[in-house]
Amino acid sequence: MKISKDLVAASAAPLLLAILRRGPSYGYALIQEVRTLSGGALEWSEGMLYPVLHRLEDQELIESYQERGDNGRMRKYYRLRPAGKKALADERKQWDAVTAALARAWAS
Amino acid sequence: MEREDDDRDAALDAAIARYRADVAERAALAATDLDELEDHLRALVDDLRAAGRTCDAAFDEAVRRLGEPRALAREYRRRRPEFSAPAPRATTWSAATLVAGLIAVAVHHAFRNAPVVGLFDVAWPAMGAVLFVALVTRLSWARPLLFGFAAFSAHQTVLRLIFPPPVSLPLEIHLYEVGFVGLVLFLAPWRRDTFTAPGWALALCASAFAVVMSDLETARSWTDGPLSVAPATAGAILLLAGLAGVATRARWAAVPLLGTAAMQVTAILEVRAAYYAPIGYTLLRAALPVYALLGAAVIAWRTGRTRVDLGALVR
Repeated sequence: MKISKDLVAASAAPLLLAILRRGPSYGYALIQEVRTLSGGALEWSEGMLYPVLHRLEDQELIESYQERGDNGRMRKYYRLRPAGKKALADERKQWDAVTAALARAWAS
Repeated sequence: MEREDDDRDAALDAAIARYRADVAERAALAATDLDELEDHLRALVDDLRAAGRTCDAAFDEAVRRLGEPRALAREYRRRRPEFSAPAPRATTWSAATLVAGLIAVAVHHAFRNAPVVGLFDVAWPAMGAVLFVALVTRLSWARPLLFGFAAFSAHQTVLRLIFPPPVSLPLEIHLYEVGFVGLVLFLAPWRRDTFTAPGWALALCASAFAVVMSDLETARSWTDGPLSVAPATAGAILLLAGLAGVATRARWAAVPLLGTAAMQVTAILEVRAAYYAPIGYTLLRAALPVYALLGAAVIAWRTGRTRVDLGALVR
């Protein structure tokens, strides 16, 4: 099963916010996490990750900082900001409403 | 065997460097953003090689997953406008109303001069109209351009408030003042990343624009005045070329901008030769456009691309 482009784009921000809620992370690790969480169904073009991260940063939902990674190279890490936590809670309500409506529609 | 490994690593480094340069060529990215991409690419290649791919195959697969430079750059540009972040609708329309008011004053002024209608009687309202349309259709170059232009006029207004001129000014001037100060307040980049670096280059060019154009107007109309026509004309043409270059993200824009700065220095020297002016005044006030143009040239050179990108105008 392949998830459509529109759904991938729509779910990108809430997924990233949810993963970052558990702690700071960096691009490559975030991609692995998305793949694991979706059981491989969410196949991102990996380059699209960064523009999304930068947009979330512009909206002041997350922030970035430089830190030396385990490979010794400087790496850009991202972490959630208080506004991001609020946005995540809001996203969650919306997605819950959508999935609940779909579940009811499919059951009927 | 070891030597073969070294060769392979060198080839890989070269391929990664080429990829990085290809992306940098197509999208305005900070060095840290490029580092981030390179780090990702290297991590992918390492993992793929550890899983048994050959070096070349690992690199090809890593590029496929991360994205070809062209597609990647498009993705970045779609998420981040070229020159400035979109302003709220209310701000945009308030600013557009002020621009319309300024056009009305300029048109009124042109009609009063009729039937002797000069180049600038037509040029200013026409420029205002273009900026009005660009602003309401939310093209990302409109905001820094208008801001830079208005900021220069507003700074003159502030100076006039501090050092009032000996004669009273016509009503028209006061209407312009209100319009430009209002524009500065509406369009100012209050947040750190409202303008991108190329956006700042546009704003700096625009701030010098009024001076360069009024020098040209003075040189043409005041024939025995201190300013000569040739350098003023050259400065204006070079500035228009520089603006076109910055707006299409071309690196060469730095060259005409430096030329305009040189012509401005000539004008300052001409005025100094004709009138006494304290050196402090020359360095702190008269030379402001020169500093703005130098700043714009540096940004254009550092963030520009080797090719003209007409698409930048509509993103």
